[in-house]
Amino acid sequence: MGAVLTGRERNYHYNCALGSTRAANRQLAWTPILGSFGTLRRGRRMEEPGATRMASCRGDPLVFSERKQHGLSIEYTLSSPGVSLSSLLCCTLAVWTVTYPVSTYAQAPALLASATVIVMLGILVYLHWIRVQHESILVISGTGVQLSTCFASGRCDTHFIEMDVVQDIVINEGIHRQAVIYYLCVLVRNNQKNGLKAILPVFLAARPRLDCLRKVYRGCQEILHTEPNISTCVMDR
Amino acid sequence: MAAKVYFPSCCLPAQSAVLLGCKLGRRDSFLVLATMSFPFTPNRVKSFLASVAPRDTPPWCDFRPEVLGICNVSADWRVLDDESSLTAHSLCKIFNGEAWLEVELHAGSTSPSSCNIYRRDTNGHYNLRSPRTVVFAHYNQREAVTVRWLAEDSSDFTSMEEQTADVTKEPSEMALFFTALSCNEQIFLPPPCEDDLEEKQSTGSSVCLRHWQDAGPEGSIVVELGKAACRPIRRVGAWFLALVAPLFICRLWTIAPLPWIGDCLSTWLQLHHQHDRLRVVFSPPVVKVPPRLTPPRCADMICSMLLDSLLGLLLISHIYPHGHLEAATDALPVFTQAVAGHLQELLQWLMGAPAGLKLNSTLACTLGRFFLYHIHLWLSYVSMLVPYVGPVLWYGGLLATLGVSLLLSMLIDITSLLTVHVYCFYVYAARLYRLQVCGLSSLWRLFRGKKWNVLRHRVDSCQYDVDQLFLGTLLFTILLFLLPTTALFYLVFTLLRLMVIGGQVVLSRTIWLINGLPVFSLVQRLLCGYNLAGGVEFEVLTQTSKSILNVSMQIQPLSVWAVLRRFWLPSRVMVHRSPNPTQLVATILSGELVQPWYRGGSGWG
Amino acid sequence: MPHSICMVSDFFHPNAGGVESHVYQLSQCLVERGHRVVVVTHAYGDRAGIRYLTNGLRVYYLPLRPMYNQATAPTLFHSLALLRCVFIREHVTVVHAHSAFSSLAHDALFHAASFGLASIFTDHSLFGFADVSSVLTNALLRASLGGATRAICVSHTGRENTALRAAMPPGRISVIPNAVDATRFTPGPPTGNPDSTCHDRAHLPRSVDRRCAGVTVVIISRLVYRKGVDLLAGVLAQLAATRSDLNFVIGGEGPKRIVLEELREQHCLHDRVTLLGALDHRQVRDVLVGGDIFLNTSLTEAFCMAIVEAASCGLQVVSTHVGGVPEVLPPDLLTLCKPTVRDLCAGVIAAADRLLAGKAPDRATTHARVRDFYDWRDVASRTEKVSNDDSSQNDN
Repeated sequence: MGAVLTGRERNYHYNCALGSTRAANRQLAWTPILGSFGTLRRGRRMEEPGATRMASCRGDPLVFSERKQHGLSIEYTLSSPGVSLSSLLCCTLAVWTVTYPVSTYAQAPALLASATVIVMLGILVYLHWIRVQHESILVISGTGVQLSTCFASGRCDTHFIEMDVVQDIVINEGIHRQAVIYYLCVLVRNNQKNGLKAILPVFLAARPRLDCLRKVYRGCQEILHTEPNISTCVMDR
Repeated sequence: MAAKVYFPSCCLPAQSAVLLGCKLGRRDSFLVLATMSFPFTPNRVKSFLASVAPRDTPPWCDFRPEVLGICNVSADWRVLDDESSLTAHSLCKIFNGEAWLEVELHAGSTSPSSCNIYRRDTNGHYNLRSPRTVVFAHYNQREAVTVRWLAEDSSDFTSMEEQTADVTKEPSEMALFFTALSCNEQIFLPPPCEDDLEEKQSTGSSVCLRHWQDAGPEGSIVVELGKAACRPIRRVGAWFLALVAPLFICRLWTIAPLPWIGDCLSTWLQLHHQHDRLRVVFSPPVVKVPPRLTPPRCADMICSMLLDSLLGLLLISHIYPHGHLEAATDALPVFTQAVAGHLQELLQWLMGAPAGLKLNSTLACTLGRFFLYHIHLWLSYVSMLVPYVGPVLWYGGLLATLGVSLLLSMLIDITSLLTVHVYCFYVYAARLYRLQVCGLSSLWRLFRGKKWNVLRHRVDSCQYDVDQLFLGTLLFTILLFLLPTTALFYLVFTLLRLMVIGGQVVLSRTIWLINGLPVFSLVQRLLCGYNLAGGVEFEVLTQTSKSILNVSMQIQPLSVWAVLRRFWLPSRVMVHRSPNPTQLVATILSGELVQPWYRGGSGWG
Repeated sequence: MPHSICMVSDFFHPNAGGVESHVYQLSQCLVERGHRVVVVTHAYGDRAGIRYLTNGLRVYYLPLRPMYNQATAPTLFHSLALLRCVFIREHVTVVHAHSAFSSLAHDALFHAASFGLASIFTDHSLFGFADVSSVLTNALLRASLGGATRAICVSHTGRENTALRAAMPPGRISVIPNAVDATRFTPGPPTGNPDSTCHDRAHLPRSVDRRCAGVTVVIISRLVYRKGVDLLAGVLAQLAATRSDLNFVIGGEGPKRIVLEELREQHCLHDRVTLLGALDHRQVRDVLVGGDIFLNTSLTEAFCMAIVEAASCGLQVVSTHVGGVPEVLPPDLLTLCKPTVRDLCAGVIAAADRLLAGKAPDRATTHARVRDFYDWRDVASRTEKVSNDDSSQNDN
């Protein structure tokens, strides 16, 4: 690094070196459509070496990947297959083919235009707020648990819970809609008073099966409850 | 558990340097504030640290900066420089801290290759801490220093201040982190003795720090000017308020009917509200110990008031030159005549056979005449009022310079005054209807051989005579057959009343919106999001060593929704929640009076 | 052969009552005998989802909204998906439904038949044939019991009633009476629970202290029409007028409480009639041992658990001669009367006289006799026999 750099310049360098992916995600969040095409392309090369194929409890395919850092942190990501461009096109075309004859018959071109706009807005809303692409849980030893949900447009919702208030991570049973499912959840302690403050479910959109949850549970427990191995070494030799 | 080191990413040194910072609470966490490169004299460093020590620290924690350890930068990390490690040993003896950090850095790399933490034992020896795993969190110092930490738990945190006795519970680590940063802002300012070269040479070399604004303080001229102007403006404001204050705290207002009238007048409430706000704004600031842990309340108030006045001025500039006001005043008598005409028509219709319903014509006629007489009364009342409405509107309109909300609340009051007849109609009809419904229900109980026990608040069984039963049944029949007529009158006047209330509710909702919108925070959130932090997020970076986890910590902005929810300013109007529809229908059916739900005091028309 | 049994009923803990405790006790004893048991009921307030009780008894509180009197809507299909999910997850082999009032139980019987599972229905109550609600419930029962392989009734009267109502061949209906946990209902001085507060103690009958002054009559039931509260009011009025040495303690809550309160005020019986209000299950024994005579005025009853509990505490029991009551206890422990005011008064007076003359049987011996009559383990083994029979039939 150069001898005389002002603080701001150094920040910039740092951002380029380390924080580039996150910054890129932020930018994508502002341009949802571009972002969605980004994930479309990314969806195809999702097959990382550590990834395995799994199924959700509805039977949809999921890709499960694990990033482990020698007992210090562990991150599990569940990705669903990306939104295919053809399905979006089909949806648009279907609406168009229905609306076109109607609007020509009724002599109302505004109908066609408004239908198109509504479909576009609907797709935007779907990609930005509804369709979940990745969900991940990151446990960092002594620091905390971070849950993040990335939508198809590239927008990411992240929730970080400090280790002080994390009581445990457990697998629970629950009734969701018309089925009894297993889910993983983070128990958040109330720091001022005793007792639980919240139960935060993880992988809410993907809803993986028990075998997958069990793997995640073991990995998280390993980080949460590592006992330090005692060894002492005196500095003053 | 792994130890944690928060390291500013802008301070990665090019050569070996000493780390300045502080420990966070009782945890194994270290916050590095700045790095100081060689050469230096220990005494100079100590005096520097003493000079930048925060004057007022929160009672639960000690955030004084100290020398935390050393950062060795080597070209090849495998060849340890004996000399530097020797220096390190002597340094930790000199500074004699509770713990000593030793970070090894590969030149040109951004992440450390090893990080050892030594702890001082009772004999003064330094022992290597175990296990030797360390989480190395890189943070952006510029963002972290300028941010306001407003996560969900920060409210518990302010309550911590009072109960300092409970030392077993510490605030969350992130809160500690941001408090430590904001307490130690002194260290980031340029040293004051810069211009005094002679003194500098006499005391030896100056310290050479590295942090986010080591090349000179960043800042904007506008902000500095604002800070400078703050004090005199506050003085002037306080003086002005002292002039106005007797008007509000005058003992005259406590005489019997006046407080009640004051509560009923929205304008008066709104004036009070503006006065309260000005008092908050111009009062000397309360210094909170963690200064960056509270929302920017004062700025929000100022901005919301400015917006209010701005809207008011816009409105005035639109209304006054174009003569809208005069037109409105002129149209008022015509309008009231038209309304009265419509009402008379409505009553005539009700006195006949409305919508083909067969009513009791005698009762309908009596009621109709009664209300017609009231319309006559109201017309004379309005003709008496009309000459005053114009001037009141003209002069009152000038109040809009103090805020459009004031104008709107005046509008509410004027509407109430002009529609007093609707209120009267409604109350008469409601009382009549209520009387009838109550009579019916108690006679229904008599019919079933029961009665309401007032003392025990329950329905008891009761033996009635034949005479009582006969009379009760007779009355029940009469009341039942008269009910449709009364109910129809009641229904029509309730609808009229609800229309008036609806209009007033829309106005008061607008006032509530203008008063409550936290403009400053919202703009701040939209323009530079990281200024209001709602949380942090971590990202795991590439690894260089087995025992060190490199993460980057970024500040997560508070969501817009959370900004609105948490910073919404209180206002005096609209304190009641609007009733839910079923409740409203139940109230109307039982014949109780529907209270206007837009103000604090006991309301009337 | 161990079964995997799924108990289905709308009525379960935290609701309190006879069916609820029956389901709980039976499940516990079946678990003890090595079966796998789960309980399915609807959600009570925020108690939804899956909970575990003692011995790992798993309870599914399904998120179905109760419609009337804690029973879900009898729509037959809105519980299908969830019940199917439970049946598959738990590898259920026998579905055991409880109570004719519970729509969830009817749904479960229907679905069990369509999934080809063996199903048992336990009927806890008697019904008429004339009024609208009975006609409707009987039609529903006929439909759902058509699929059930076996039915269990708590008394022979109940069996007869069910056979007639549900048009079920009597050969497929077994009689297994309810049981009482006799260890919890022992004679002796009221202990008062160690965890009960002072308030509870103050709340307990004053008559406990005044035992020597006369005879205390205890009535514990829900104060509803079916339990004969109006009859009770008549009996109280007459007894209070004729015998001044009788005191009354009434435990329970319900819409008919007002009748008793009015009676007390009209005849100025505040010092002789104590209304305790709703009783906790733990307080029942302490109230019982404070009395000498237990009075039951029910108008219809399939199996009266209250009189067994009272007899187990060593009390003299006076009851109306309705439904399955005569089968519950032998005649020397039970005074049966016609459900009229005069007959009931005569029964109570006779019991009181017997007591004052010292001819009443000893409390401890009564308890010892009743203890041998009923046991939940016995109920469980008999239910198990029915299930075995049932599943073997199903295999054929």
